[in-house]
Amino acid sequence: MNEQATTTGRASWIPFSTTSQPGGALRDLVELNKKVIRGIEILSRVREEDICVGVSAKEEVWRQDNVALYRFSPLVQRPFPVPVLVVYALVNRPYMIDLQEDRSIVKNLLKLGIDVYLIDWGYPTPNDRWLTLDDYINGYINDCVDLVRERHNVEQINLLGICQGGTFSLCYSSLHPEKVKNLITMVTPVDFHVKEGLLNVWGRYVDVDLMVDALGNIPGDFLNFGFLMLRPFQMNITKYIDVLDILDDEHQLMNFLRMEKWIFDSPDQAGEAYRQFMKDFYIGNKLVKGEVSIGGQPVALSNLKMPVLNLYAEQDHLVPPRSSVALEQHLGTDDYTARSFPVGHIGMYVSGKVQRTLPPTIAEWLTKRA
Amino acid sequence: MDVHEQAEAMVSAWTEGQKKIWQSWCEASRAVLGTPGSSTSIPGPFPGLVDQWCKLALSGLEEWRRQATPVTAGVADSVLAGTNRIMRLVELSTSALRAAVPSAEAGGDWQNLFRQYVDQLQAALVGLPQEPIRAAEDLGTLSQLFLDELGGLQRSWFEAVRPAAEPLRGPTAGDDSALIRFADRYWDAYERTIGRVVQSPSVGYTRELNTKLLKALNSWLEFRRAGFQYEIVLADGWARGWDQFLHEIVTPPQKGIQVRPFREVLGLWGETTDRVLTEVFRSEEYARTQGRLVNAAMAYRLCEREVVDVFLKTSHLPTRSEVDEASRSIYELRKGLRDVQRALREAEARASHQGEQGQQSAGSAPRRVSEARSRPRRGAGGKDQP
Repeated sequence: MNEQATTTGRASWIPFSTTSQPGGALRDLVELNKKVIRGIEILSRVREEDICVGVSAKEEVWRQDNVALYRFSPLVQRPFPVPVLVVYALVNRPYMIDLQEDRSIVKNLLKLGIDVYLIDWGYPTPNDRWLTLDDYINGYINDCVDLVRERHNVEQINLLGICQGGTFSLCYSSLHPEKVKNLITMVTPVDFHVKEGLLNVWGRYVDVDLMVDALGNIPGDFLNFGFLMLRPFQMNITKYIDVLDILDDEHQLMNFLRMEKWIFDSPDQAGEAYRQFMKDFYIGNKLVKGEVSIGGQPVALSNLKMPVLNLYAEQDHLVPPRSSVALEQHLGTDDYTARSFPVGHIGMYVSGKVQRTLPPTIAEWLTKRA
Repeated sequence: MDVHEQAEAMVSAWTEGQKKIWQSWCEASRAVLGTPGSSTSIPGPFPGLVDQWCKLALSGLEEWRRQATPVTAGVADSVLAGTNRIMRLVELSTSALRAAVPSAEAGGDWQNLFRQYVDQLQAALVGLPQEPIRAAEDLGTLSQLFLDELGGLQRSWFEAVRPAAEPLRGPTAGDDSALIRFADRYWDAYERTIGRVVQSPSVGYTRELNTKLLKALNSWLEFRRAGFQYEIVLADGWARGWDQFLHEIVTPPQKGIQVRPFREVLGLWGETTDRVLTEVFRSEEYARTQGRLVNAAMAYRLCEREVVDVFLKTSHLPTRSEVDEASRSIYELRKGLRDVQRALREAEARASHQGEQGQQSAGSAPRRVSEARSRPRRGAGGKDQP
């Protein structure tokens, strides 16, 4: 846009050229217009059903209330004998790990011979408003673990907990260590009071009890607003300006739309579970203090004697890396491995580079502990 | 209008807007380049342009998005909003440039001119929270807004109250440039009048309802007040981000000329703003202000529910509280049923195991995993009671 500029000293130095030729800018505008028109033409053709997510074949093997357990169809003749159960967060939909053909952690794990199960928490309704963390962890997760153990006739299975699901997996493994062979946590908050964290700071002044009493289930959009405010300019402005660059590329535009769908496809949070998670974990930071109690039983991370693989993102603004790596100090196992990836929280699911390195990391780690 | 016509309308509106921007861009360039030393005296070509463009583009969009799906329509909205912001930045930057060039060429202190645009940016991009202030110009307007939010359920009641508020019109209308001072005056006026009434016991046939309504009004006002304070803190954060951005683009002259492509400037602005806002968000002041807003919103919602419940009961409809109770009962029944089913499964597994042991007295049949299915911690008192 600005070809050159002259300076005669500090006072006359300016960051923009004053002698630029408008021709360059006009060419930019012409190109931009072309892209926008092409983008509008593409957007006009796209329908909601075209935004396909969750590409791998799967079968529902269990359902209770709004919660379903899926088994993905194996892609190898003889998968690993001990399957992996994926426990995702409550705050977003789990299809993020199987977003599209070329961005699917699930598909890559299947190709590497891992038998993958996934808990889908569904969309809580007003009847789920009273579900507690006990119901999620000792109820749904435990039932799914038992079912998978029974289907494969094994005493123990592998758990892969992602984000908040990782925190749940830590609690579950502490309460039922005899059923977990290996534990993998991915972008999982453990120490909720690291200084990079924002949600814990905000939580100090929010009356969580009042919120749950007033709203019942906590609307997904309400939480989404909070996440978007963590980087308001990037998430609300720059992102959409950057779309202008790809507006004429249907493939990239569809990728963008899939991501948009995932970001804003936010289930409500069961009120009571939200209350306990916010108060005990975000505000009280009780997990690392050993003060969390689920179903009347204390959760001690020192109970985790099984091998643990901790995967985290170096540029994660939702779960700061220090929050995840704090896990090592509290574990009761000597077999602890941490691996970081040079991406943000979302990049862990969709970055091409991570897709090439993360699934093999998991598969190799599990193979050594089969 | 079918999809193609909608797209055509959209494209047409867009193109029309772009043409005007284009023309103005040329005029702006001529203004900067063509008449050295006199650019400040030339009438600005941009005022009103962005609004015009926005209006054109959005009118096409409105038509187009009627049949669009939620995600695509949302993206189109956001793209347009983002582009709108670009144009506002272009407008602002060009104006700043035009004002600064003569000063820079004369060796003057042009940096301060740039800083004057901080206020303009705040107004253009963030917008001072004028709406609550305008809404609060008198209690008549205020009550109307409140009525709208409550869905008109108790309109007749409020119609009676409104005239009582008329005498307050004078003291509360006035200098809206001093936002906080004005707001404080308004809230003080409220506290001295209606606020005092709210805290007094009501009498008569409508006593209970009036108490609920006044309580709701009080909590709604606190919500408005907290929202107003929140917007001030947020707007201040955006302005500081802009200030920091200006600082960053003008500070390194010793490195020579910094010719920055427009997108790079935008990227720097975004990066700087997010960094500054993150600092703001981490501050106790922000957390406290945001907490106050959220808590006020929740308190209002509870009060609103009490009022709505009264009207639902009158209309023979279940209230939210009753639905919550029913949900809780369903939840407890479901939970109880699951516990029974689980216990039954375990008993069956035990019986099956014992049967196998009986048949293979000296056998070593492998223990089935189903026998180990258990939930040891679920005893009486072992449940989390919500």
